[in-house]
Amino acid sequence: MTTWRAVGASVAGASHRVRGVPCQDAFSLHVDDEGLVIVVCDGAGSAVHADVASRLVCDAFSVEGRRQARCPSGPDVEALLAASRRAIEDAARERNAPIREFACTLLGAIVTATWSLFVQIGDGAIVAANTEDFAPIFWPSHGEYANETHFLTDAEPHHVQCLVTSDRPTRLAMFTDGLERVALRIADRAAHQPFFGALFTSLAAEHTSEAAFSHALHAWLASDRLSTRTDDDLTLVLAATNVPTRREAADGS
Amino acid sequence: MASNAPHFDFTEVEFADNPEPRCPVVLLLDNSGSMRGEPMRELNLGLRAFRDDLLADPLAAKRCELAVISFGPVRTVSDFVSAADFESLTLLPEGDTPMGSAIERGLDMLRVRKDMYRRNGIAYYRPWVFLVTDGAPTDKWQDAARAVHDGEQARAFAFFAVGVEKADMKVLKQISVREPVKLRGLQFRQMFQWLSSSLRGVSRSTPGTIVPLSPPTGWTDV
Repeated sequence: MTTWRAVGASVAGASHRVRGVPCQDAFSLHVDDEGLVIVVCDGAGSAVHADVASRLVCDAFSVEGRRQARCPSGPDVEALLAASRRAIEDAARERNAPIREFACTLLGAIVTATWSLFVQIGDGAIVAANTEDFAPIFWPSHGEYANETHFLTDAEPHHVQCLVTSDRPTRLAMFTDGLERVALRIADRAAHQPFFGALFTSLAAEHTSEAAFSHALHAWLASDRLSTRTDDDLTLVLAATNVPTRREAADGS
Repeated sequence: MASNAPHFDFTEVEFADNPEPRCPVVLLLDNSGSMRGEPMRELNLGLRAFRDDLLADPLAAKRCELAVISFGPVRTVSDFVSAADFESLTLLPEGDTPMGSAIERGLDMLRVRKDMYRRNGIAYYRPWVFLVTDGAPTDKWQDAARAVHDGEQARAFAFFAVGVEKADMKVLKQISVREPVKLRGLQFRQMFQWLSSSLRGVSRSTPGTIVPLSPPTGWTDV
């Protein structure tokens, strides 16, 4: 059985804090004997109910994801997306509001003993590593312009990026687009290794408690150092297995 | 190039140093003879205040990039630089009003700039082209008008036209898809203030944000 150490934090961006707008990012993090389910959503700034939508989608995807994690045969992406969409369609109907007011992106990952699933609609990224370097599973999908992306509410089938594999990452990071320019090397479409290296080294340290790490992560996301680089909402979720990496094994400690 | 000296272009070095998404803006400014005196002076003052406004906002200073083309004759006064590096400049009144070729030059520069962004993996916002004139084109402007219409249709940029004093609003209407506006008196400073606050909105917008433009009130005549 593989156990995971997993932490996450979301903070409202500087511009949202100033205007009193709630954080429109949400995440859900679940670890049990069947595996790991992580969802990260970024509600569209233009959508009135973006904060509600990202929360609902995280919850719905997570519930369906945990159900599927018990199926050794593999995941059903369509069912995951349908459950996620249903959650916002119901909310839209209840509030008598158009579905576009619930626009949000979706990053989902399920890692079980026999299979892993990654799915992405829109921007932000899922970065994974096993014994190799950190690499984004998909590249954030933007329109031509920086303030355009795709959303669960309006995604055409070709906007859904999906990967099902028997490979299991031992380290997994998922984050919304506010961190893209800090965590990714945009020009060569790669992950910024030192960024993830440093984070996972701290996370894996024996004395690290998940609660203390989450707290520190939250404080860092809200720090001035980051808000001079972006004023968007920021979410970062990290998960690492307790399986020793090769290097630690070689150290014999 | 005439000289054998190696030519270094550090433009793309700046993209590595400042990988922020960019919001390119082309200012097409009329400096024909009829702008002589008060209009030219006010336009120059407005331009300076515009730069100061953008500089006061750290994100806008890094993200907005300005290019200035004056026409009368067509001259690239400043190729794209980020607002932080935009040097204050003073336009002098000169000749006629070759508006058509100024627009074509501006759209060409935009195309080149977008290619440069793509090559360097720099994200960008929809560019703005902002035309200010007090006259009527003295050259062939129909091709430029078509290029503006095509570009707006393809969402390649947003084109705004402002007429000053005796500007030919009828021709501006045929060039610009968006309703051209008439500047009230010589309120260039108020006009540039509107432009900078609109750009600050665009340059800090995040995916999915439709940036509402505040109506150009206070500096326009109906």
